[in-house]
Amino acid sequence: MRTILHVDMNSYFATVEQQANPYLRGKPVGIIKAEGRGCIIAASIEAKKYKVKTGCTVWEAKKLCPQIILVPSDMDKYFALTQRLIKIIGDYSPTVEVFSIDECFMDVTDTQKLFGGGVLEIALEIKQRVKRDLGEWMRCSVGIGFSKLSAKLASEMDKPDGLTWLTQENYLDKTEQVAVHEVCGIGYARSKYLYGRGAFTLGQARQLPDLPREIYDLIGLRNNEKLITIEDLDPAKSVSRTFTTFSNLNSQDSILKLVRNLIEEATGKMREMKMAGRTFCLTLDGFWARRTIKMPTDDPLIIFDLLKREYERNPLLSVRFAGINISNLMLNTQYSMFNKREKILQVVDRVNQKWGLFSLYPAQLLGGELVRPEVTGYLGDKYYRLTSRK
Amino acid sequence: MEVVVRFDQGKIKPEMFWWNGREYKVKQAPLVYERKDGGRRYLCFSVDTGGMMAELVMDRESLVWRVTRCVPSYT
Repeated sequence: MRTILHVDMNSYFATVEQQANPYLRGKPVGIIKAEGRGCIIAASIEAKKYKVKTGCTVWEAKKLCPQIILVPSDMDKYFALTQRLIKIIGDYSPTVEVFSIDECFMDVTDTQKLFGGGVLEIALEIKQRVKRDLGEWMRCSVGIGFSKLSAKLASEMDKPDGLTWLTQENYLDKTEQVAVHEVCGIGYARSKYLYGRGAFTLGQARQLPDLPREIYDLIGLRNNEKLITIEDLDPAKSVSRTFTTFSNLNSQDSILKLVRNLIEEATGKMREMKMAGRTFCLTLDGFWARRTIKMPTDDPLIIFDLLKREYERNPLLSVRFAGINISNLMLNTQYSMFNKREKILQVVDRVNQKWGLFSLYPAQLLGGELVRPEVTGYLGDKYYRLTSRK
Repeated sequence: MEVVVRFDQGKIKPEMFWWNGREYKVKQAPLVYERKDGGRRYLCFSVDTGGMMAELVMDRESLVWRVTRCVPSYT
């Protein structure tokens, strides 16, 4: 029988801001992407009491909780603390899966024997060290289970600052009243199916005959998925970057400038991973184009020229959203001795490594604010963040 | 800007700084973390000066300090 621990930081982004600014503690805080943005991307424990949730508009949040304090997000700050959390967790097991920016799984089946108090001692120690090393206001919920699914559900069952242990013996009783949609893997479609059959809790769902195998395993918390450690991560299959502007871009120039900026950022990341791509995709509001070439490239100018030609065939205006996706990635091991562009890019990368990203950038991006690299909450670029930049 | 810092048991703690012609005493630094920009590393301190919460950033290579963010503490 395996023993899995799931550590879930409570209201992570907002709690980090409350740790950084003690005057925000105990007050309802809503994290927004940037000053002037209209969507709450995270809410503090106090704001959640007023039913302010992730995804609320600022207007809705202010209606629910007029005294809410809006704080612009700082993803680098949150990721710096995540790295500290990963380091703490790594002291208790070599098998750690970083699930997202605020969640980790660890397999302590073997390592729990090294601690007198077993898995419970590990869980309590982690909670203490989170407060000591991340900050006294930081809190986490820990779930102990016999599978990833049961550990994750256990950590959800007691928030904030909880500790729940689901064993093979007690899990049927303890999870009987849990709503089916609380289980990771039971999303909109599966919940709708279960509601349609009159099952709203796990207890009710377990009474149903003839359930599809995948739902049966989920409600029985029986899936036997392995943890995906940092060493198990595959090299990136694609690199993408999206951006939503504050207001509509109404000229071709400004749209192409944003596209170039996103390509520069994505290719910079690709070059850091020593990779090159063959398929390039551009998405704008109401526009989509894809080009595939024979030889992989990491040169932003080539990619920009290809996508610019596609855009100029149908030059849409009034754009607020732009996205770049580079796929068909492979390790870039072939360098031409005669290609000066490669040498220029290498020098640009070295200057930017030494003096900060976008110290050198194309003249096309002059004038106006640059879109800079950013960590995402679900850590889709784990391979890049946790391996190549150690 | 000028900063007075205390080096204590392997840690740096800003104690006082002069910024925009004013002197600020640091009451507490509730969060210290590292920020990266390419290969450049910065040490960031969220500091409480009583009337203001500020973020002091130290470039680990050049040892230059700057204030990147400040908000009044009455929020």
